[in-house]
Amino acid sequence: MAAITMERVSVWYGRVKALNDVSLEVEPGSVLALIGPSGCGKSTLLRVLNRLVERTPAARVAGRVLIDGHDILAPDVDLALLRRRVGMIFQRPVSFPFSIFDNVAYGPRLHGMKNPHQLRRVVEGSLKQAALWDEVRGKLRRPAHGLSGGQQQRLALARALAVNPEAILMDEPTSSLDPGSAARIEELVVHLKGQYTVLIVTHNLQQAARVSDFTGFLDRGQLIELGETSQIFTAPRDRRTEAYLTGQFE
Amino acid sequence: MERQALNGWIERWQARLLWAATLLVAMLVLAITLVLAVGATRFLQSRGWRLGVLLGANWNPLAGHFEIGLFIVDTIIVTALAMAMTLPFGLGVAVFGAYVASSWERTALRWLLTVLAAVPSVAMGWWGLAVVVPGLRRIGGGPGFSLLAAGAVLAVMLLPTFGLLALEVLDKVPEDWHQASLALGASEDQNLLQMALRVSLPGLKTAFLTAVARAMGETVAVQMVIGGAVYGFHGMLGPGATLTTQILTDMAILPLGHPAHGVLDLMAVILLAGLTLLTIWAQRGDERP
Repeated sequence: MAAITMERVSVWYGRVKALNDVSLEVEPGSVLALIGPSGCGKSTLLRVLNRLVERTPAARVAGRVLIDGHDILAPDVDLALLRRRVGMIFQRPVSFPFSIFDNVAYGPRLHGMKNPHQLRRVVEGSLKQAALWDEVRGKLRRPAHGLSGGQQQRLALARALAVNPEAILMDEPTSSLDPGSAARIEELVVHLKGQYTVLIVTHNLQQAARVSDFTGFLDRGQLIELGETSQIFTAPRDRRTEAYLTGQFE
Repeated sequence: MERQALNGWIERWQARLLWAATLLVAMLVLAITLVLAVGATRFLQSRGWRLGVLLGANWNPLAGHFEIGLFIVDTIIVTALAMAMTLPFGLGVAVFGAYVASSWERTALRWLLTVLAAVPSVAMGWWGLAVVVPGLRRIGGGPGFSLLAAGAVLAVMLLPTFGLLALEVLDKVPEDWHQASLALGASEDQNLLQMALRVSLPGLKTAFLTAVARAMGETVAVQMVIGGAVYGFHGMLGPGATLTTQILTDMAILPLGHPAHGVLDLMAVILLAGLTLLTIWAQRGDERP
């Protein structure tokens, strides 16, 4: 479980400012939902936390981001180690064209785990945590691409959990899934609460209300309001938040 | 109504034309194969189906000795030498182009490789005569005209073929996969070796086999630097002759109508069979799961 603090973080893509002076704190083991209109900077905010934002050409980040007190934007930060501690699930489920086993074992192998018994244990444990084990046991050597979209998203979660992260970033993890599969992912998020710090970007307001402890509303790169989920949804302080929640947004 | 009838008429004729074009291709393939196969069979028959024709190394058309084993071996050696030299450079160029180069560097690289691919083989052979052959003579001794010289010239010719194809393959690895891999804590090197190259393996195999096929079939550039020795094996630094170069050399003394003309047909059939097998194998590798 990691405590995450952002202090006056701004991000530019070339001359476009995607994130504007965002400061926030996330309690260890809590779930923070980030909501807001398309292009408001939610995904950018997530990608600052594992520094995947730097893959975008001409991206520039200013401010301070502390994870458990360590400044992760410092130039000497070990990116591999940071990304091991901060896992990520993407909008479209990403499975490598390997077997189910090799997908989950990919991360542990990167970090030097070679012992087959140990790998098996980690893979099994991660698949159980991601509630996929019962559906794939005995089929671990089959290609991951044979799984359904919802199963592949849970496989991606298992793969992220296999490297034992402290925080998990989820970038609209259910937006490409059918309602049933989305509900299973939601259950998992609730289940992960308390063991991992979770940041989840979502366009689904009900989902944010169901799974999160805290909710942040972003608009045009600015964090307009952040508070306990119940407060944000019942008594937003900013009228822009209220307008968004009630569908009166332009 | 009339317009509809006209359209129907056009469509029917279009279909027939396309079908005829396809038929023409099929007949061409059949005709070429048939002519070569008939010549080759007649020749083998005249030799009493002796395996020595394929395995032996005694080639002296004027004395009536027609054993092509040496050319088969030399073809394999030259191709292997060329691929061994092309593979690391081509892969390096492709990885640089796909993952390291800035966008202008990538454009320049593609342009350079395309230019190199467009150099005619006779010009490549000429360059081999001017640079590779004297170079090898100075470094390794011997005549300079050699299997190694042929391999080196071929390697340069294959570099753009393999490099460009491999670059396309690596470029096709989805950005999602790179991000997912990096997000798990892969270093750039790990991402390349354990993900990108691994998932590209089927495509790289196809690129490789395509280059092998080109190497086997190349004639003029090889002929200009290989030395054309038909008596025995002289090592990598010694001269030799491949199936293609020997067809070129002897087409004048074994013209159509000559009783032993069929041995050239046989050599062509062997090449054709090898290339067909390679092509089938290459295409099988291209099917992604």
